[in-house]
Amino acid sequence: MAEVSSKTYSRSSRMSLRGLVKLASEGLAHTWPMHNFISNNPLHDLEYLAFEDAVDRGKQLFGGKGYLSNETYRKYYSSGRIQQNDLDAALQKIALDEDVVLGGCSISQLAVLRAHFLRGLSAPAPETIAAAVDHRPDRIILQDLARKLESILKPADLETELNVSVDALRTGLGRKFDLADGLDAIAGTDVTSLINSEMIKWCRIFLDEGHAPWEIPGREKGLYLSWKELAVNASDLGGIPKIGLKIAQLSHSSEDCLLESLDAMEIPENLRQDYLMLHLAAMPGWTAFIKWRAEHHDYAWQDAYPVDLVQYLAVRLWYAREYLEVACRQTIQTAATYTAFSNFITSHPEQVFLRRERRGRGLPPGYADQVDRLSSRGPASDQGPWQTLFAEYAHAIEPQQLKIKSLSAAWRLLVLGSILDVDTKTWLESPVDDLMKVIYWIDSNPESTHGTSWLVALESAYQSELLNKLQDRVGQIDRIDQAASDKESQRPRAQAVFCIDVRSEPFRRNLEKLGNYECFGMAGFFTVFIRYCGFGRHHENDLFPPIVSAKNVVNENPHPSQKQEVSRHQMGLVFIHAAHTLLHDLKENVITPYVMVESIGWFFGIPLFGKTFFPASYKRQVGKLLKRLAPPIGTELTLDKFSREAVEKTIASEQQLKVKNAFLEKFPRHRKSITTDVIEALRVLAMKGDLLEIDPAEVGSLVTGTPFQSSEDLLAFVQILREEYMITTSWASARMERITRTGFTLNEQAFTVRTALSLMGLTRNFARLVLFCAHGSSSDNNPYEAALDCGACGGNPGNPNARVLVALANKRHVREVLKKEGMIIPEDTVFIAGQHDTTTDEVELYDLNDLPSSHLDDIEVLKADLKKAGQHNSQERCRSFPGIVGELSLQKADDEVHARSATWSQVRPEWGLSGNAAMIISRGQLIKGIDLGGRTFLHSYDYRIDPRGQLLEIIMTGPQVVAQWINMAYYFSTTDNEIYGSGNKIYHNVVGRLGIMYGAESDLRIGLPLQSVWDGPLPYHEPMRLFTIIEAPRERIEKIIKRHRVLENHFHKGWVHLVALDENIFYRYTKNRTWQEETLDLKKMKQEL
Amino acid sequence: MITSVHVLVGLPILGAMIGLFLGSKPKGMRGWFLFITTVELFLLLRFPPHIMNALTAPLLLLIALSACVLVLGYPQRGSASELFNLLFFSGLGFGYLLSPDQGGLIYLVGILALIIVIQLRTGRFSDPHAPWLFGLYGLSILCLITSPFLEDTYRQIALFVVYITLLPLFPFHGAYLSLLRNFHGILPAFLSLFLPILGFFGLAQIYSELPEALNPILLVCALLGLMVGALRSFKQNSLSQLLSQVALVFWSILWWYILGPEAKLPPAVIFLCASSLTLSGLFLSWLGLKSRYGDLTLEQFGGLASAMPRFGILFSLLIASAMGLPFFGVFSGFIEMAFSHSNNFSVGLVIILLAWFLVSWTLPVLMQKILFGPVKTDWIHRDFGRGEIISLSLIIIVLILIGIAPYRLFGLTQVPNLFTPIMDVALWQK
Repeated sequence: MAEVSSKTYSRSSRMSLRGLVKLASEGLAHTWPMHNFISNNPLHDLEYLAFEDAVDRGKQLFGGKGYLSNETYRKYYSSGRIQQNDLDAALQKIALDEDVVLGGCSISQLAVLRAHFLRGLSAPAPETIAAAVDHRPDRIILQDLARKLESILKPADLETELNVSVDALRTGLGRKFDLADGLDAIAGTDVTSLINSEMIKWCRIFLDEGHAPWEIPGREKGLYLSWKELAVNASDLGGIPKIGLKIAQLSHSSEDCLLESLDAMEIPENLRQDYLMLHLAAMPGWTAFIKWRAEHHDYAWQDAYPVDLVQYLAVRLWYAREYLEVACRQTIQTAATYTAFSNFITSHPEQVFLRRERRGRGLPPGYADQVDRLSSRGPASDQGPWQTLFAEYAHAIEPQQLKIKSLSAAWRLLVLGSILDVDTKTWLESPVDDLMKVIYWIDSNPESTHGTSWLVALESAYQSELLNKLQDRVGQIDRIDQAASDKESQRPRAQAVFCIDVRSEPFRRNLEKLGNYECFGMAGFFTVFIRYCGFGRHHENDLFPPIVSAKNVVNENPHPSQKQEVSRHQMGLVFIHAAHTLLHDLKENVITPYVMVESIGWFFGIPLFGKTFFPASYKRQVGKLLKRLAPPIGTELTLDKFSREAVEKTIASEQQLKVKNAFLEKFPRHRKSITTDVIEALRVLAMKGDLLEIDPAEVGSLVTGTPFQSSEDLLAFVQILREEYMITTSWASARMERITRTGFTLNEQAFTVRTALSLMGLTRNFARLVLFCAHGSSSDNNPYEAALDCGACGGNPGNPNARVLVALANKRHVREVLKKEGMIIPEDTVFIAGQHDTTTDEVELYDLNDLPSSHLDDIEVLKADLKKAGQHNSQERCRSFPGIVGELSLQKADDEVHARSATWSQVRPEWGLSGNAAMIISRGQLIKGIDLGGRTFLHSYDYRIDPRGQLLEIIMTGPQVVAQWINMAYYFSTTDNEIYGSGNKIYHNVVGRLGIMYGAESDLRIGLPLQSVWDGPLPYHEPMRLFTIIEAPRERIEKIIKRHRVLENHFHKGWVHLVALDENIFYRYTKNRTWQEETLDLKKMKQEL
Repeated sequence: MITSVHVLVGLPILGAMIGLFLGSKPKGMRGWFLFITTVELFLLLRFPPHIMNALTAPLLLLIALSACVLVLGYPQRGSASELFNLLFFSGLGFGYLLSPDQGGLIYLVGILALIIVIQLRTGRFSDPHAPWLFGLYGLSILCLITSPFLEDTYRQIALFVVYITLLPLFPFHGAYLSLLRNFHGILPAFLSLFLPILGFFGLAQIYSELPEALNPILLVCALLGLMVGALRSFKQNSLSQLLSQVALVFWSILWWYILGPEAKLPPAVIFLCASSLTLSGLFLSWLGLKSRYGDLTLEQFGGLASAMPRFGILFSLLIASAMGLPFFGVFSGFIEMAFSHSNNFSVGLVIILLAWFLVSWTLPVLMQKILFGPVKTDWIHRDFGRGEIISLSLIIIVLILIGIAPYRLFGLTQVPNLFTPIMDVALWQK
């Protein structure tokens, strides 16, 4: 294998490999670049499994935990967050109706399990139990009890343990761990780290999105080829001999290289998918990001520098086989192939067992020394010394293991006795069989499995509380709604539509308190699926949920009345941009920092001082300065589509410009000979079909007066126009398609407005003002800023969506169409767009200049109330910030949230969506005035206007799914922040402007940082699965679930809890597709309480 | 007539014997031993015997202090024999250090015999170094017993053999390393400090009379010991084994300095005191871990920084001291020794620095293994208690004091050269 010669594989082999990689990557979720951070379920692609199974699979693949520690759940219990009846209800599902009688006292399995859950009846780890027993005051009794149990316990049999262990190793090879992991576990090598280290290096330099001042060459060829071109110059560091030569000889096809590596390592065909999955799961952050990029061809960086998982695996497996080759030769003296490694395990069981024990659980120091000595000295094939050592070890350890076993059992019984008030002597006097039965109950529910029941108990406690809150409103909804209809003439002061985001709930509650405001909730993109290009920006942003795509593009242009202001604004922007670029270029250049530090380094002292000591005022002053340099201008959005003629004209102009440039490049001295007619004639020629079909005589006239020597010469130039300048019909069609995506047709406009209003049930009784309030956030020095923005808008602030919808809804033509369709929007109803800054609780209103003067007073009142609501909301939020004791005044709360948004050392500018736990899809009356603690996604929906369930279907498959993504992202980031979250912010290091690494080298971190979900020893975010409550007939919900696999997975596989409010009764949807009346349970629970 | 010397020697031995009767009451027994060691320390400070000089004073104080601190920080209960041995050793040690001329050798015989008895009782013969212990300490006893009957030159050589066993010099280090690894409980923490002190003291008395021709050979042995200790420390699985190799490095450095042409007493004493106290503290920390979790390999530990934060801080400071970081005595002693040589950049110094570097790399790795990484949730964690914290804190404070206090505070300024017949030079001054 050392001498590599590249092989070529058939097309079908390559295709089949691509399919294999696709299947292997199923376990990986997607990771978006950090500027479009999307909260996503890290086990998203495992949702076809039951929740508990997916958690187990995630643990196996990534090593992540799916539940909080038992200790944390116990803290919830002791704080009263989990009640005993919640826990008992969860335990009854696993406890049998059995008991034992000890000393005249009957002990049920439920009681034992409860004690096990509440105190943890596990004995200390075997290696420490002897020392731990010595510290117990009752050690004499414990040792006596252990001796009693020793008589019935099965003696340890190390030979059997060896066989089981070796067998598990052999069968797990390629399925549960790859060759590198296997070798590392046995020989203590570091092959996996070496491979990871190489891959991190290549991923971070290849995937860089403009962070590196000096980017690697050849990126446009893709990851594999650019690696091949550069790595060929690598030195033999890391021990791979002749590395350059080997890389040079590799195939140019990444598929071939990957297939060759798989063949070289002799990975069996039936294991290849698993094997590739193990390699993908080794660094799930990088691979999930590559997976996302590979599926987004229109992403600018992917378009420029293509990458996919096959290329990634080709590079990775090449390193794997080469490093393994070296390591296997040095440690176990076998070839680095699946077959050889598997044979080694089979033929050297004692060696494998002892070396693995040494690296894993650990051996006593004396044996560890001997294993080390044998590993470093003797030839790996010499089995004699290993067999002798194993025999000695077994002889010495077996009696000890039996003793440890009995001590462990006795330990658990005594702890149980102390909880259940069983006298210690009772244990000594009880029959051994009864004692073993109790031990069996404990052993059959090890602490590692408690998470499932704890989670159910935690969820049950929250759900009961929420349903109890809503229960009081149920039954009154129709009455209130009827009263509202009767008083239709009394219009609300204003109606405000907020995002379903949990942060909107307290804000809208505080707004509703201030007057006759009616609030609605819907996904913050307001059904406006657009790609948006802001004024002065060069790239479009996807402002829609990640589960859908957009076909409309909206551009922001300066208002036509502001020509002078625009020029000043643009000059200011140019100046700011130039200054910014200059400073950063100087800072990041190879040479200039040496000079720069002395010359203008002091300049950085100003922001350093300002941001550190006066963050809020510094931010204000900088904002003012920037406004003076580039005064803000009014803008408008491109809502209408261009006519076909106009688009054709635009494209023709673009092409003509290209033709002219091409001509001047070829004939720079014949500027005068290129007339408009010639340009157009050349363009038309280039746009024609096959050039071979053109008769040279036809173009003869064009040759005259131009520098072309002949017709052939001219046709050759036309060919250049087609090939190099893309003046072709296909390009024109693509361009046409792209331009025609800008804006909406009138029907689309009306459809968008109608869908948005109907979806939340706002179809009548419109107020004079209807506010569509998007949300965004503001924080400093926060790579996770996008995580605080609107998830429904692709991790961006949602104001463009709100502005588009408002502009559409205010259009006369749109209202006319809607009127024809039966939706009458009163003449005096004006829609306005706003954006709630969830960090500072300020609401900014947009495009107020376009509003009629008749509504100015209404707007002033609304502005004042929004400000007050924001302050009250800040006050409420401040209660949950660490370090704030007591209730802050409104002003202080306002100052606090502003300071948080501006402080660059602030790890928690806000809590974001932390705490989210439920989603309520109902009429507003159900939740009006109820304090839901900022934990619920609220989507307004009126089932009465949706008899066929079409709107509900949109909500359940759209916003509800997004809510589940967010919920699961927070869930798993909390249960295992190191694996599913991005860990502690203190170690964060922005890499390539695309994500976060830990320190200088790590996997790309996914999920949310520790500070976003944990607050000291307890999580701030209580990790629970989403609890969806829908006010709609059950049959309607059931039909929708049946139609969508994603919903079936969510509700049947235990990812989301569902309760329907139907005819004023709550019904819980069970995994076996039935409805169970919830109110009865509530009553029962209340009785128990 | 009972003199202060009799009191200082008799008190711990008598105290140890009385303590044996309290064996059934662990708390009372420990309290008693603590009382005795504290009184001993107090007497030493308040009523120093007239025969204390610039060398014996700090050494006696160190033994008394370490005995007191180790009893205070002793984590196990119920084992009277270890504390008895500790007190017995310290009594005999006082006897040796305070007895003029040959009389003290009797105490030394007692000490070595007691070590052999303890080794016989522990019954750990499988250790490859165990034969070294019997052989070397047996030989030392033989040398001590026969020395009064030998001619001067042979007597010096016989005694020298004893001292290179006590202050371990390669290849006579096996016995010392064996007892550090095999002895139970508090004894390794005490003996790691106690034996080199006795060896150093004895050596200081006879070294000037030894033939100079031995110097180059001994220097090579010291450097070899240094490299062996530094390299072996890399591959140790157990903390006690690793610490024993670090101890070999420390004492090899001391030997290298002693064998140099311009060795002076103050730096050597500073280094001896600081190194031995650091080792003692590290062995005490190890004892704390061992009593909680058992005798485990280094790889089995992890995550103790969050599970046992108080231990984590104290252990890190001791490691910092052992690494020779500033403000601790080891640093001051070593720097003083390194720069007091006229030929500062000798081959020996280069080897010393290399070995120092290796050990300074090993120790943080050791700390990382024990303190960092995931917390073992299936272990029962108990952070260090009050006694252990006070005890280790005292050690750290004394180490810092040794590192930053001027020599005159220890009464060491009067002795310019190690090989001056120091017994006649300025007496201990309070």
